[in-house]
Amino acid sequence: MALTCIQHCQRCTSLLRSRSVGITTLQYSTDAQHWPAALWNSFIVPVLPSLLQRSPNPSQTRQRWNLGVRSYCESHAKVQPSQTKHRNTDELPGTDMVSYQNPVSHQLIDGGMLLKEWQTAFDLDDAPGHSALEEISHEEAVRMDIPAALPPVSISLKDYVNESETLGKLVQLGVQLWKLEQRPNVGSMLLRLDFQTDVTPRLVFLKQLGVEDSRLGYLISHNPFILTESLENLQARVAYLRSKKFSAESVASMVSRAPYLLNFSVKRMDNRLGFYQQQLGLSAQKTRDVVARLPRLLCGSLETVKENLKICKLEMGFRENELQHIVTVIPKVLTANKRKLTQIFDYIHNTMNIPHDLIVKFPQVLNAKYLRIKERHLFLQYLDKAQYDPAKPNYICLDKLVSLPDEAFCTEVASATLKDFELFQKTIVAQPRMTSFSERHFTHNSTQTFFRQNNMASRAPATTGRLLVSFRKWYYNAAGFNKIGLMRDDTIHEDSDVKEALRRLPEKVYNDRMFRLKRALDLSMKQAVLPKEQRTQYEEDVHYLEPYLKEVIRERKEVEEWSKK
Amino acid sequence: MARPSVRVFHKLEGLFSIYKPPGVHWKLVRDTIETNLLKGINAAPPPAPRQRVQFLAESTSVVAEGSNELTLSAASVPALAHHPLVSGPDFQHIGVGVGHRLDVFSSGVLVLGVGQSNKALTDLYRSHVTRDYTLEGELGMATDNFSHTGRLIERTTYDHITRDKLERVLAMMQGSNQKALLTYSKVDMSTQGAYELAVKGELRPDGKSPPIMTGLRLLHFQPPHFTLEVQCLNETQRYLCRILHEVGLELRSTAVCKGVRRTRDGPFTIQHALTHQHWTSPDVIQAIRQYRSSRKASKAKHTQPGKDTGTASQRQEMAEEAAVTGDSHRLHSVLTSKAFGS
Repeated sequence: MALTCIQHCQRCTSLLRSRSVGITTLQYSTDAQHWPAALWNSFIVPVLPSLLQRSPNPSQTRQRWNLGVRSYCESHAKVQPSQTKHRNTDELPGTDMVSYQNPVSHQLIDGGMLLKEWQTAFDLDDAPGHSALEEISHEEAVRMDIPAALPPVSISLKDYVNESETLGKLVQLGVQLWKLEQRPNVGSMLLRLDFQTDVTPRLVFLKQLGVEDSRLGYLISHNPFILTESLENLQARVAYLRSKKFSAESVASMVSRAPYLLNFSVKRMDNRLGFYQQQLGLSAQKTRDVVARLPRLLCGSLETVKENLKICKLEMGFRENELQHIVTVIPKVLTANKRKLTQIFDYIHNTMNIPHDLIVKFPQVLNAKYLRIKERHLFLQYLDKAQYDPAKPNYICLDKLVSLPDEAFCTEVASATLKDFELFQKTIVAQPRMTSFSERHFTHNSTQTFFRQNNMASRAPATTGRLLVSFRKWYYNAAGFNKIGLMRDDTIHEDSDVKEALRRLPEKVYNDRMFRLKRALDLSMKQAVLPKEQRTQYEEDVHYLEPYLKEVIRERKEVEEWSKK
Repeated sequence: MARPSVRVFHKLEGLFSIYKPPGVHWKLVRDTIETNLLKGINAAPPPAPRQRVQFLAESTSVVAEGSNELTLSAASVPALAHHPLVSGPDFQHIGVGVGHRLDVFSSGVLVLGVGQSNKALTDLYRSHVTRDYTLEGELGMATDNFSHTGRLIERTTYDHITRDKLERVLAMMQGSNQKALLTYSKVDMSTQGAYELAVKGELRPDGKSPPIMTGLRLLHFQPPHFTLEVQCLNETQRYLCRILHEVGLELRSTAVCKGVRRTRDGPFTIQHALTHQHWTSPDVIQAIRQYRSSRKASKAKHTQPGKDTGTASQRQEMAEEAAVTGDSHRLHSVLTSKAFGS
C-alpha cells in the first residue's frame, strides 16, 4: 500500500516539477543523486517516474479491473517488484519528461485488446523491496504529497484535464472538450496523444498552411482525427490541392471551413473534383471557385448532390446553362435539403408565379427560408404590391424580398411599419398546397378551378330582343298554370332525376312548392282560378329547381360514364 | 450566489404565448424556442476561472545547502475541470412545456411554459378554459379530412345559401351546444344561482366533457367564403373543421375549412403572442413579466371592492373574473359554496 502511495507521490512531484519548473527527467535524476545514500536502501529510489510509468505492467491492472470499452486507465498503481525497477534504472536514457499520458496510452484498455501486448509477469515469489513499516525521514514524509487518485474509468475528460498536458493545451486553444467526449472513443484517443510528438507538429503544419490561430480550436473540435492523421498524408493532400491550382489562401480557407477536408484521400478528392467539373460542365476555374466557396462539397456524399441535380433538371425544369449559373452563385443548392428546396420552388413558381428566368436571375431565393418568403409575399399581396415582373411598374426585386432584414423590408419595399407586418403575420392561415411540377416539363396540373353556377336570378337567354320577350310572356300566360298560382318548375314531370332534385331542395323552397301545389289542387277541385293580382307573373317566376336538376343529371351522366369503364 | 445563467433561467420561468405559424408541427416550434432560450441562458458570462493551490518543494539549490528545513512554496494553478470548454455550458436542456396543442394545419396562440411553471400550465388546462377560434370556410366542396388540403370528394352548388339561412343553422347548433353545456355542468337548473350563471354565460362543465361550443357567430359572409368565430372548450382543431362540414351539410350543400386560427387561449390573447422573430430570451422574459403584471392587476381589481358588499356580490365578481379567464376551479368553489347547499 505504502509502495503505491509512494509511487503516486513520485509521479505527482515529477509532474509538478515538470509543470512549474519545466525540468527534464535528467535534472530530476540529478536530484536523486543528491539524496543521501542512506535513504537509498530504505526508500524506493525516486527513479525516473516517467520510466516507471513507461514500464508496462498492465497485467495486474487487467486482472483487477473490468475490461470495459472507453475506460481511461490510470497509469499503473500496482505494486512493482523492485527488481523490475532496478532493471529500469539501468536503462536510464536522457529522455525528455514525457507527459503523464504516455503510460496511459500504453496501458489503455480498449476491449482488452492491448492485454496481449505486454506479457510482463508479476512474479509472486519476489520479495517486496521494502516494508510499509520502515521509518522514513521527516523531509521525505513532508515531500510526500498524495495526489487525488485518478479514476480508472470515467465518462468525462474533466477528471483528467488537470493532469494531462495535451488536454490542458487543447483547452487553451479553445477546443470544446465537452462535445468531443460525447463522441465514442475520441476521449481515449485524445488522452493517448502526446502533445510534443503528436499534436505540436500538426498544429505547426496547419499554421504553416495559413489557418488562423483562432480557427484551430474550431477545427479540432469538429475534427479531432486530424491529430492522428499522418503528416505525410496531410502534406500529400495539400500538395494535391496546390497542384490543382488552388491558391494558398483558398486552401487555408477551405481547410478551416471544412475541418474534415484533409482526412480524405487524394483519390477521393480527385474523384469529386472531376465529378463536379463533368456534371456541371463548368470550366476549371469556375469549378475551383465553387469548391473554394463550399469546401464541404469535397467531403460529403455525392448521392445527395446527384439527387439535387436531378431535381433541378427534371422537376424544376432548369436548363444546363441556368443550372450552371445558379450553382456558381449559390453552391449551397447542391447540398440543400431536397424537400425544402422543392417546397420553396413550388411556392415561388406556382403561387407567386415567378418564371424561371427571373429565378435564375436571383438564385438567392432558393436559399432563403420558406416561411419568410411566404409571409412577405402574403403581406405584399394584402397591400396589393405583389408585383414581380420587371416589365411592369411597381416592380419588387426578388433579392430585396428575400435578403433584407424585416425592418428594412417593411420600410423600403412594403412602405408599412414593422408593427403592421407583425399584426399581419398573426392573421395568416394555411394555404392550399399546389403541385410542384414545372410548366416546362409537365402539363401544369390545374389548380382548383371552381365550377361556377349561374346565378338563379339571372336567367338571361342568349338573345334578349324585345320581341322575343313579349312572345315568351304571351306563351307563359297562354300556358295557364300561373292562373292557379303555380311556377314553371311546379309542373315538371316527376321522373327519378326530378325526384332527386326535389329531395335536395332547401326546406323553405320545398315548403313553398308544396303550398302552391296544394293551393292549385284545391283550386282545380273548385274549378276556380286565382284573381289576377295573385297569379304568378312572368317576372316573378323563378326556376328554382333548374340548378338542382342540372346537377343531378350531370352526376348521373358521370356515374354512367364511370360504369362504362 | 447563483451564477448569472441560473439567474437568467429563473427570469425565464413563467408562462408566455407565441403565435404558431401554419404548416409547422408544434414540436418543432417548441424545440426552436428551447434552443433559442438556451442560447440566451448560456450567453451569460461564465464565472471567474477557479484556481487551486499546489505546494511545491523548493528548488534544488536551497536543498543542497544542507539545511534540514524544507520550504514549500504555494503556486496557484488553474483548475481546468470547471472550465466551460471542459464541463460544457451550464444548461444543456430546459423543460419547455406546451399547453393546448395546435395541429400542423392550424395557426394561432400557443401557450408555453418553462421550468417550474409547467405545473401552472397543467392546472390552467385542467380548469376548463375556453378558447376562441376564427374559422374560415368555403362552400361548395367536401373533402376527406374536412379541410381544403384533403382529397376532394364532392362538389355542390351553394347559390341557395343566404346569410340568414346560415345564421339559422348556426343558431340551431349553438342551441344544441348550450343544452349539452347544461347537462355536463351538472347544475340544478331550478336554482336561482344556476340561472344567474347561465344568464351571464359562466356555466362550465364539471369533469370530463365532449367538445362544447359556448359561442358561435358569423363574422363575414361572401359566398363561397365565410368566416365563423367560435368559443369552445375541450375541442380539437379537427373537430372544428368537422363543425364547418356539418354547417355545410345542414345548408344542403357542403363546406370545407380553409383555415383555423386560435385567437385566444384562456387568458392569453393574440395581442401579446410573440411572432417568430421574437422567439428569443429577452422578448420571452418581457412577455412573462407582462402576463404576470396583468394577472396581478386583474386580481387586485377583484379583491378590492369585496370588503363592504355582501358575499353574494363578491362571489359574483369572482365568478366573473373566473369566467373571463376561464378558471373553473374558482367557479366550482363558488357553485359548491355554502350559500347554495344550505
